[in-house]
Amino acid sequence: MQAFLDFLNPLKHASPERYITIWQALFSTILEGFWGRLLAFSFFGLSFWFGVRRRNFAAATTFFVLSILVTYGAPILRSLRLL
Amino acid sequence: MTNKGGSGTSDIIPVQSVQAETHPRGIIDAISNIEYYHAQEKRGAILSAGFFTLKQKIEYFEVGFRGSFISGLVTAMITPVAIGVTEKMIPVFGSSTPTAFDVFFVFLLAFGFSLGYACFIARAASLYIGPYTRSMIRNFVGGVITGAIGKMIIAFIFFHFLYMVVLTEKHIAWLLLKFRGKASINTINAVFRWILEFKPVLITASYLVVIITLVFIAIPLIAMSLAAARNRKLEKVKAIAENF
Repeated sequence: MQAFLDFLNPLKHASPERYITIWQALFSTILEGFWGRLLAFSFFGLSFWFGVRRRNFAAATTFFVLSILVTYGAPILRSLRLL
Repeated sequence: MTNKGGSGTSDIIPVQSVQAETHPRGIIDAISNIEYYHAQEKRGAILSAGFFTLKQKIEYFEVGFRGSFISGLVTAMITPVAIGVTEKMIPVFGSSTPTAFDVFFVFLLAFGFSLGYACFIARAASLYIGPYTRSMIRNFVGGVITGAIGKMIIAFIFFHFLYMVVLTEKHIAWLLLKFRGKASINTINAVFRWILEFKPVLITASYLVVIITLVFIAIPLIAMSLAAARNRKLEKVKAIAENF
């Protein structure tokens, strides 16, 4: 069991610095530059698709909130030193 | 339904079904009911506006009011953020120098929801046909417009209140000095300057909310007017056909 838990712990496979760098690279890719813009625009489009076309307001609201998070998420994470 | 005689000329009197007599819990229920009665009236059912009782009128008004007030208030609060992006005071996609796409997108995010909602209501307003549906739509759209105006007044007063009363230099300094032990004096100074620079954005935002609210109100009203004009044309064609 302990071996399995150790296997799950990413800090056993990479140094803490490398682990943090991986997350920072991931956040940077998702929230900044071309991919951030594409992701935010896609979420916004999906929000309209679900809200207007499919009339699923729960999904529409979720995608709208995700779009806002991707758009304004970078400065928030930067203030938390995660980016 | 009744069908008198077997001569082939049917005398059909569609009657109102009790099945759709549900109380709208939200905008979807209200629009669904409007669609249902629109279909009945379009097929020739004669439903008096008097069937739409005072209780139902209040319910439809309330549903319209609640929907536009809450959704409008949420999007109104994003407006200063969108203007902050154009003023290069709030970073977007991790950059403080927004591109044309970024500016377009943040405004789309701020107003797209309201305008999409208005188009959604306009679709229901375009079902304005017989007296019963007209009564339903008038009360529903009346609630939507009242909610939007209420939201506009609250947002306008709130942004001005923030600018004139809350965010004075004295209040900001008093609040920031509470963090003196936790943050460096440079950080506190930077935040102080940022808030003072951001303050005028609130006034711009309040006027932008007014403009967007007027557009929001205009969309369903235009749809209703177009539907009314279409109905008048249909009545004229029907009168010509009957006299022919």
